Amino acid sequence: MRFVLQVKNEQLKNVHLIFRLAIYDIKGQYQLHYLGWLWQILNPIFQVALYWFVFGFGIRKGSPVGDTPFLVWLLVGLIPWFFVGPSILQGSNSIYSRITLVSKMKFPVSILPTINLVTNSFNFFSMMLILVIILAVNKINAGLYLLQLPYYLLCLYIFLFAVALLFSTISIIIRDFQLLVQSGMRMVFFLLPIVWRMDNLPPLYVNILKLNPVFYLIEGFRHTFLGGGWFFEELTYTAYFWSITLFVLFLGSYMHIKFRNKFVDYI
Amino acid sequence: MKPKIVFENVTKTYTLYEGKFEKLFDLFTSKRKKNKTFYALRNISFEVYEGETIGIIGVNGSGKSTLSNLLAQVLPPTSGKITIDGETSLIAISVGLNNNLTGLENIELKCLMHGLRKETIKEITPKIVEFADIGDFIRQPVKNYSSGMRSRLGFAISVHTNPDILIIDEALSVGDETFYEKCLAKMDEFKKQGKTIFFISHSITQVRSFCDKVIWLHHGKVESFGGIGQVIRQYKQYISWHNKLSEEEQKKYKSDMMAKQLIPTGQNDNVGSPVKLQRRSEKAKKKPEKKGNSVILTALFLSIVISAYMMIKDGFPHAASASKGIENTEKHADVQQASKKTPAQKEVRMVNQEGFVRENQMELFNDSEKKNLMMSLNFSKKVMVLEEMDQLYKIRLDDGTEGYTDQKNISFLDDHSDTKKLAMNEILPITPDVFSETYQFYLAYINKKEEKIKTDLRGLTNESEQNSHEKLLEFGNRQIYYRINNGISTALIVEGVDTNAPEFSQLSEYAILKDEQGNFGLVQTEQNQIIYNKINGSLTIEMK
Repeated sequence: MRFVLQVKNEQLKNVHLIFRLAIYDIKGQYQLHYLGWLWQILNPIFQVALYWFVFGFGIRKGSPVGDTPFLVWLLVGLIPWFFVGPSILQGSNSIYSRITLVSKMKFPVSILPTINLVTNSFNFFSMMLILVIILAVNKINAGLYLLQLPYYLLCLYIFLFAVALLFSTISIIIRDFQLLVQSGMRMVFFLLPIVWRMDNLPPLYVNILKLNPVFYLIEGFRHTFLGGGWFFEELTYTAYFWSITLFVLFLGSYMHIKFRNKFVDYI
Repeated sequence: MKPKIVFENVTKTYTLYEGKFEKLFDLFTSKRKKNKTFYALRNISFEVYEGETIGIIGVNGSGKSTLSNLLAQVLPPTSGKITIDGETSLIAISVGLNNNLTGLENIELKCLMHGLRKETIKEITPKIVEFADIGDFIRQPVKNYSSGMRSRLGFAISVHTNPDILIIDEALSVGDETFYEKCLAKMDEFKKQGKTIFFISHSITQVRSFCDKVIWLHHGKVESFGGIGQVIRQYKQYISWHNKLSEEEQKKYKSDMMAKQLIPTGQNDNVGSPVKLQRRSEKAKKKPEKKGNSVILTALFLSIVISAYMMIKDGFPHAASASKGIENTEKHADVQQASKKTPAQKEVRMVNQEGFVRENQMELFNDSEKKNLMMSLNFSKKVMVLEEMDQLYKIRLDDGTEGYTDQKNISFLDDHSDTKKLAMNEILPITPDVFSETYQFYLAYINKKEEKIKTDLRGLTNESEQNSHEKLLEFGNRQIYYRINNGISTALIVEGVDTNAPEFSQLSEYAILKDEQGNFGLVQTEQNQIIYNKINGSLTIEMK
């Protein structure tokens, strides 16, 4: 318990630092490009266009999902993924990539994954804004279901922080882990109901795929923006999600604190 | 005076692994096998007081950089105790600058990372720029800098973060004479402020020019620590002795010294044992908490397993659909599907939807056991489906009669029914010529009074009563009938239809309602709806 609290306190104490460093991160990333931060938006747009063309147009022949246009259905799942994917991938590398920058000074290393999360959040929220506009144009209103948004955002952030903390610690000790995460994430993308619906699968398979906690988040965002379910209606699944998130959080904080002093030794 | 920094028996070792896997293995076990331990620093003890400037000299590999990392608290010692009173700041060549950011941005970034406040950063930024003195390059990305510029900027930032203890690790060796002078001036300023400075260098002249005391590190040990003149004299003697040796002797000396630093683990001398003792005592102290941690972790793990098991075992109600937001569309289909999926279901569900009879002579019972036949209904009769139960629908007719029938006899029109429309002239080829030549004329007499038809159309061949309020007017020569309900014609029936023509099979493609055998079907045109009957080759045309 002490470990989690210690990590939490380090985050709270350095909130200002986290935000400033995140802004510098974005600045540094796009400084060399002529279009600068526009790439934050352009990159996802290209990907959405590709997925829409291949899955919506090519495979589904442009048919809507229920009464929701495929593009909207796709976006509601893809936008959280655009946040989850890079956050986990970069998050697991966040300590390694910056250890030289911070190793020559006393620095709360546990905020490095958080900085990464905040950096990606800028992108996430601008995409959410676009999503809201698209939903309004298509006159899709989920009504009361929208009230779930804060809950799912909380789930999203706690989960991503826990995973990034654990993965970044492991990938310092075992460098291979980073590569494993990379190919793992590519696989996970297609095992989630982001670009395709899982109606045709037998329920057993769907339930096994549901064991991936990101499934819970993607489904949650669909329920929030398109309506159709409350998180407390699926109590077993909610319990599962939180158990695994807290488990990762505990394990991550424990390992982080335990190995923190030796990070430099391992590189 | 209180000492600023105290080192007590500090040892820093590195374990040398034979391969990657041994390193991993070492993580999970406390047993140390044949790995060798390299003593970068061994049993170092010294005290440094406020305001002192300490030079650290030594040949390559003597442990200078390890010492500076220990001083900066970047590395933890393997054993021994380090007490540092104040904030340290390490200045090394190109210390962690972000290559993509400009000099100015790096200044703010580094200051932020050192934990300075926003106002302070604003205040000291011009000072740093002035001290670094790299002109317009300050607005350029750091990757365009020369190595001298980089070290100038790094040095400028570090000295302005206001540390109590400065550690300068060969940072000045790249600067030119003018910058060197500037640094010396800054050092003197720090000295006057009473700050402690560690100066690590190969250059004896640099050390001599501004250090008060010198530590001579030799292969992991403090060879000598004391006043500047005395230590440097010893160091110089060693250097000249070493240089006089022949090349082979030099090599032998070096490998001997290295061998002393390298000790196989397991046969540690007295240096190793306190480490283990200390670790053991730490473990003992942490035990109760460790227990708590593993309890929490185990509980969470169990919770994961149980909930996962429950999910896989019986699944939850909406398991099959990835997103339920879509389910409530196409209700008709759903109702049908749901009833098919659960044939054993006895419970009654409300439906309240309009349906159509899709069977000719459909039997309607007035009880749910299907014992009492009430009446039979014709194909395409519109009914109201009230409830669904075990394979049955309870339906209501226009006149209020309620009864039961099999679910397969009733169909719900899908939403796309409006799009399937035939043009009247697509139907004409299959009708007899006597009809098709003047079909518009005949169609005009639908929904007209019985008397009007009788007076306008000649050639009435027969008049037959079907039941109490329905009769047929037969115009045998023209192969048509008019169906009269309560004195009004409600339908035109055409006989002699060519059921073998390809146009006839086209009808069934357009049918929005069909019976199972394919003998009856309902198609739509713009104004009419037409029921085809394959058995007696007739079309029944009604107004919509």
